[in-house]
Amino acid sequence: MARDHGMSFFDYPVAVPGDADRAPAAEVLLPDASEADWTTILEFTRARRFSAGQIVLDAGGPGGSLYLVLEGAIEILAPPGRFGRSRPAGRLEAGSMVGEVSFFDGESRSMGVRAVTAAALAEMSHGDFESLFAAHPDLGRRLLMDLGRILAGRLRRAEAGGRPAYPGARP
Amino acid sequence: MTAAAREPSAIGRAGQRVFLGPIRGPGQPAFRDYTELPRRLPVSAWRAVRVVSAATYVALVAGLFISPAGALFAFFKIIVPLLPIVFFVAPGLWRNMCPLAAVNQAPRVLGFTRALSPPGWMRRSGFVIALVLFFGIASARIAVFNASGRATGILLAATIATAFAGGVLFKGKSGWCSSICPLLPLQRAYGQTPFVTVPNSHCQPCVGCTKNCYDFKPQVAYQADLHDADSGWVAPRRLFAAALPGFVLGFFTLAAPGKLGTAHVYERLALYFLAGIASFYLLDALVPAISPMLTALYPAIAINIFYWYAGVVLADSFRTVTGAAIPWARWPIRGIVLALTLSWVSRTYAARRRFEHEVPGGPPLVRVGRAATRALATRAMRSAVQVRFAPGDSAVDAEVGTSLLEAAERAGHKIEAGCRMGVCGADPVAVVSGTEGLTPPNEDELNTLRRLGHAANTRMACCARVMAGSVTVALTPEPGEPAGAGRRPAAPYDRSLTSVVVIGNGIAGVTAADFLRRGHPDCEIHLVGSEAHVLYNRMGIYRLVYGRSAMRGLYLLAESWYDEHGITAWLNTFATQIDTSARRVRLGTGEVLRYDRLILAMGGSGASPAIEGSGMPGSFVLREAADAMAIRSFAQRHGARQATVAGGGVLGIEAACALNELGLRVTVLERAAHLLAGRFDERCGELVHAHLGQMGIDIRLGEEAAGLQGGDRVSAVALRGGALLPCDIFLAAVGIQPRAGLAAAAGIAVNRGVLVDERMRTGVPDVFAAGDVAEHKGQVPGLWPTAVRQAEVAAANALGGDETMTADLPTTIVKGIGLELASVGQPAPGPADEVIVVEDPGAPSYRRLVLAASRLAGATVLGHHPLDLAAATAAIRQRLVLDEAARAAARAGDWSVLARRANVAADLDGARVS
Repeated sequence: MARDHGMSFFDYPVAVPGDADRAPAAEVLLPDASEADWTTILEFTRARRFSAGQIVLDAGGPGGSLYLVLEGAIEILAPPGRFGRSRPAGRLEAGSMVGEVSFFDGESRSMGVRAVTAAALAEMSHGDFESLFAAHPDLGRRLLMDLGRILAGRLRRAEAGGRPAYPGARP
Repeated sequence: MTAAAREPSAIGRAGQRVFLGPIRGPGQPAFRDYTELPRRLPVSAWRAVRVVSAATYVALVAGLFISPAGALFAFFKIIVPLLPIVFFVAPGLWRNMCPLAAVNQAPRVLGFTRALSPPGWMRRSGFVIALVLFFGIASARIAVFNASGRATGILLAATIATAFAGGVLFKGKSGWCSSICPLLPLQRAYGQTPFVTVPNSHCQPCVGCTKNCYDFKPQVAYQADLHDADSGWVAPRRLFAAALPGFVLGFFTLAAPGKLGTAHVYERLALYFLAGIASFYLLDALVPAISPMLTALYPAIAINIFYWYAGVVLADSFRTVTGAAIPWARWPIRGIVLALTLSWVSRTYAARRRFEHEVPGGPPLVRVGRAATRALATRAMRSAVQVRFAPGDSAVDAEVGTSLLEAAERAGHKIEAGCRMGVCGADPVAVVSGTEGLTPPNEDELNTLRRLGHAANTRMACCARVMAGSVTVALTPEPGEPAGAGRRPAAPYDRSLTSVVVIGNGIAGVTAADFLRRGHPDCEIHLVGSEAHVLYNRMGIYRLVYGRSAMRGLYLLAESWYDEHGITAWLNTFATQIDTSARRVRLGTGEVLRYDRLILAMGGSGASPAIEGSGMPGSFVLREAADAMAIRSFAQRHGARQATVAGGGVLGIEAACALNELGLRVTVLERAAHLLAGRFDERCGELVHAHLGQMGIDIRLGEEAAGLQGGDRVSAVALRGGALLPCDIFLAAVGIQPRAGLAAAAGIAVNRGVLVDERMRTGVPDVFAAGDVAEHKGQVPGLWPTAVRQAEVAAANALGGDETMTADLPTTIVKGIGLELASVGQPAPGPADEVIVVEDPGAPSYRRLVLAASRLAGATVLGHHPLDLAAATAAIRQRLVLDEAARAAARAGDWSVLARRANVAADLDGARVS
């Protein structure tokens, strides 16, 4: 299981003082949703397939959609540095979500994404979400509130003591 | 240690990449903690080492007071010069045997530590305190400690007392070793990539006292510090590395006694110190490529400077102790240190790369709940279709149910499309691999494939839908024998037949000829066509108006097809007279064809409205390839700017779009209250209206042309309402006029078209009719699939069979208007019928079902819903009864229920309706 950057290598058997404000290992989206709920949500997505090494999202590219990794693995690419090379900054497996920030603000992508293995992603655009909301208002509301909760938690931690924009960011 | 922590992380397991650097063996996690590192000495042995080490320290302190010269020599000339290389090669060795650590840990071992958590300032600023102490004490050597045994003794005594106090008060190593110990910065800088790891034997168990603890994971601790999110944590560590080389150089070059006054020495030392730091930050700013490695390069430079001088010191000390002079020993010492450093820097680079690669999680990680696992897998499976195009191997990912035609269009490949129903034969492709993932061909498609006569792996791209896996297709079909029989006349043929004449080289005529040959191996078959082309894709002629590619890609048969099938083709030839009693057809060229059976398939022509000026130059119909090409050349010759299309039906709007594409300002006149009246409902017409409006096409409803005005060519259309509409091209798209004149002249019963019964027989024995020339039950359908079906029936009956035309499902697919639009079955509800409408206002998406007495009778689909259209077509064909649950699902937009109920294909089951 992947853990938060930093403490991941230092999984002491006891809590470390001053680290209480760290992010949990991974936020869980809709922890109480049933399989049927997820099947419904996924009905309102469009699946996209990528072969290993293929760019899924370009850093700086247009935003607006939320992605769920259906299968395979993808890696996040830190924005190109001064030498124009994107560095891998973390790997995500099936069940991970990306793009939640630009889903809300519609701004361009802060990070690129590349398929590490052959991968399938489910894309939910604003339009898809609207359709979900229209057809299943309760589920749509739960999804929206839970995304809000996760972003709020991130904001809280950011206010408590800055996190880097991405791991491996130059210290 | 928790069990989870012992396991290699998922990242580690999955990481089958090859990393630089020899640290990790196969199957090992990237960075191991101290419980996982190989242990060479038992903990008890380390305890004994520590007792000796602490005793030695106490003895040294005592010696500094009692015999200062000897003790100072031992400390500064032997112990201190050796420490950096120990930190460099095996930092863990010192961490385990350091007397200060031993004393610091004694309260824990003996059970009287208070084990407090250090205060926040100490956690945050421990490193800064240690840094200040290190440089303060080291620089004070010059003025104080080098020469004073007492001062050094007091220093060492105070140090060990502080370490002990730290151990009494604070838990783990947080009171000294991992917080404020002055040697800690040096250990961290030099110990960042240990050559030899000696696992921590103090912390039994780990109490988690320190962030990024070296003793916990030696190989990763320093990288974790440098990559910490908190810049306040990183900065002093970088500062320490930055300061080392300048300080060491200054220390050794200025420490020689006597040359300078003490104050000057410290001024100079401060300059060296600051210059070193400045150079670090200059490089950091100016040479970004090496910036991340400066924290390794600077300590590496510093240790080389150190041993450049300490090599001499150690050689001298050796002589002092043993009496043997080995001044040359400085060189191997310098050389070994240099070699070690080079290796160390490259190993550090590798460790850094690995660290950055293995940082798990990446950006803030969000996962879906556990319950989603199966839903995700199912969704992935359903979406798992890919179409690859050979040669070149370009691929397009697609939703389940995408047709090869849609995939090819999406991938930007040039592919012809006609009826999109598998009937016309415009889009044959070769399936190179993955056939099993395609929907099987239906009878229409098999028939077309049979007619085209390509290899067995050929499919019509519009019909073959990808349901699973990856399919590879080539856009050029391969030569060979077609698979499957397709339809053929059922009854044995009439052996007395020797000659059949088919008039008309459109789809009805060619299908009739094809079926005649399928049913009769050797009779003469004459095919007479007035057009100068072999069978072409009439639905694609719009492209001839706006495109530059002329007939390329429109031909549906090779010229050799007729010969290969023993069919005598008379192209560009007019049948001028039929003599039904003599059974002869006279051709415009004078030849006469005798027949036993005659099949009329002359089709229809575009109807011209009976208005004044109709037929003058600039007025057109659009029915044949020649019409389209004439429009294009007329528009160019006369610099046409404006066009008026009479008729807002399917043909009218398709023509309007073609003219619009050619660059003309197009006005469409539609008599009815909405576009596409007859085949589509009012709302659908409005949506198409809006769509065409956005394309710039002007649509006038409730309006029609009353007359054409102009001199040598059309210049304006007079509207029924009285207005005058200037135009250069007038295009009538008001319907199809069956070409029944020849038949009427021959005395064959004709109304609008040639009258036929359900066996396609005309009023005259042995004369049949099919396609747009035929009128059956008052209908001239004008649809390719119907024409094909009629031609098959006509051919079968001409050969002596007995087949009847079953009621066909009228299907209209509107093409070339930039919008997907289709109607299947009954378009308008009767008074008692139910209508289900699903409209998505966000996208052009409108779906409508007509139910007659709960049975599905008709569907209209606007927008990209290929699976829905397929499902609805299958369900309507079965006249499926929809119960309340199914109707509710359909109302909610879920038409997959139609597929399930119609049971069209197991593969379609559960497929998402997109």
